[in-house]
Amino acid sequence: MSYEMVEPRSAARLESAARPIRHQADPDGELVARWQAGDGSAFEALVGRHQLRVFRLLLRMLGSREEAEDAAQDAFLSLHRHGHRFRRESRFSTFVYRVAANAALNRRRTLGRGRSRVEELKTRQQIGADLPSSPRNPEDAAGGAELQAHVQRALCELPADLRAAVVLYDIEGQSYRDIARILDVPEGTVKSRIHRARSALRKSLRPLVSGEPGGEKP
Amino acid sequence: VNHRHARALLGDYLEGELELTERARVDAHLGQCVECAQELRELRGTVALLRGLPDPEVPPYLAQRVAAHIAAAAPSARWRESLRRWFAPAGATALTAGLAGLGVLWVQSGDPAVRIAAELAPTLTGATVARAPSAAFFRRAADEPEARPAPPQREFQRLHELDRQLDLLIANPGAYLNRMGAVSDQTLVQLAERAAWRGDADDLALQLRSIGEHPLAPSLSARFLMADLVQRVEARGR
Repeated sequence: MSYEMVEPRSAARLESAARPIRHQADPDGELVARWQAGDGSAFEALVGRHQLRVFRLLLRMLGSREEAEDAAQDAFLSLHRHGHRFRRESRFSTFVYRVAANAALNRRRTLGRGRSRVEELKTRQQIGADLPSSPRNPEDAAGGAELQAHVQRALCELPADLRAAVVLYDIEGQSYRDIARILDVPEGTVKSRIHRARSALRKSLRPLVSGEPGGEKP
Repeated sequence: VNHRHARALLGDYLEGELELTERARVDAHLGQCVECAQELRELRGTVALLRGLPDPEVPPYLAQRVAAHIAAAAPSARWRESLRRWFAPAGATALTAGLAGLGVLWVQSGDPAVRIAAELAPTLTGATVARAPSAAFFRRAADEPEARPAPPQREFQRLHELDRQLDLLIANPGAYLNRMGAVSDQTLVQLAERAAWRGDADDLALQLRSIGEHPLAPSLSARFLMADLVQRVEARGR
């Protein structure tokens, strides 16, 4: 069955015109071109390639594996639905992050449970229920599920826009420029959100990070 | 730099974004100011905590679930069946009666799509229905492999192509019609089903209606409208 009703030359155009500028810079360029030319297996390969990024971002944004998994699924389905609008003005991974960040922000809005959870967290923190018994060296951060949970809770306390910026920067390692594209705000706004987020996190994580000067990196 | 200024620069300092002279000034201040030195330490600790979070384990079936959803997004067999029921017994009169009936049902709702459905009925029964698929076509279609589920990959490809065509059509209906070659009825039915599933069918029908001077526009418009109506009927049934 053939669907070449319009634009029978689209595949050829993808090969020639769109290629030179971005193609080499974007590691996904080849797969994206195949997908946009109608190759379904290329989309599956792209999902495989990006699922860790998407899930990690959503987990840090939403704070629970279940929600992150649902949101990741939404994000990929949305990507599938809108992916043909991707015009290669940025890297494909930036586009994926954008779709995923929107999935997280929409989810938050739909669920509308941010506030009560924040209140609960504040109370718990005031009574010190979440704190590890003694402050640890941040370098040990990778250890200790308790510590990770504490960092995650601190993240969840942040307003969503600050959280998105700091997660994209410090956890996903995106540049200011790419984050500006992902969140659709100016670069200056991105920088200020990251600084504000870190500053708020510093306060809520102070018991963990105010160790002796010897513990810090140069 | 004074204390206030130095504090404001700590974020950029941490990221190594200050010019040398400014950096030197902040360094000098940090040497004297316990408070700023402490804040910088805490900021570093915070960043280290964030960056130290380990990668989570991706849910094992995420990719498969996505693929399954995409495959399932195809209009259901039941849906197709009702489209057939609408068309199949359709001697032109039955179709008109059906459309008129629907028109009466919904015309009070003020829904423009419905009003146009009523208007369109004569068009459909005249010029268009002559080209509309016959009952024989649908019997054939039912016997054809379409009834068997397509392999997921091809199904994905098919839907992707339908979406692409619909997007082109939405973007510029006039240009689309001009470039549209000979299209099989089956393809039109699939386009209409997909549009209805996406919720675009009524808008498309209206848009096409507004460029009615093109010979293909009324027939295509009617097709989208029909798919939209069928979906509404289905939705009522549920």
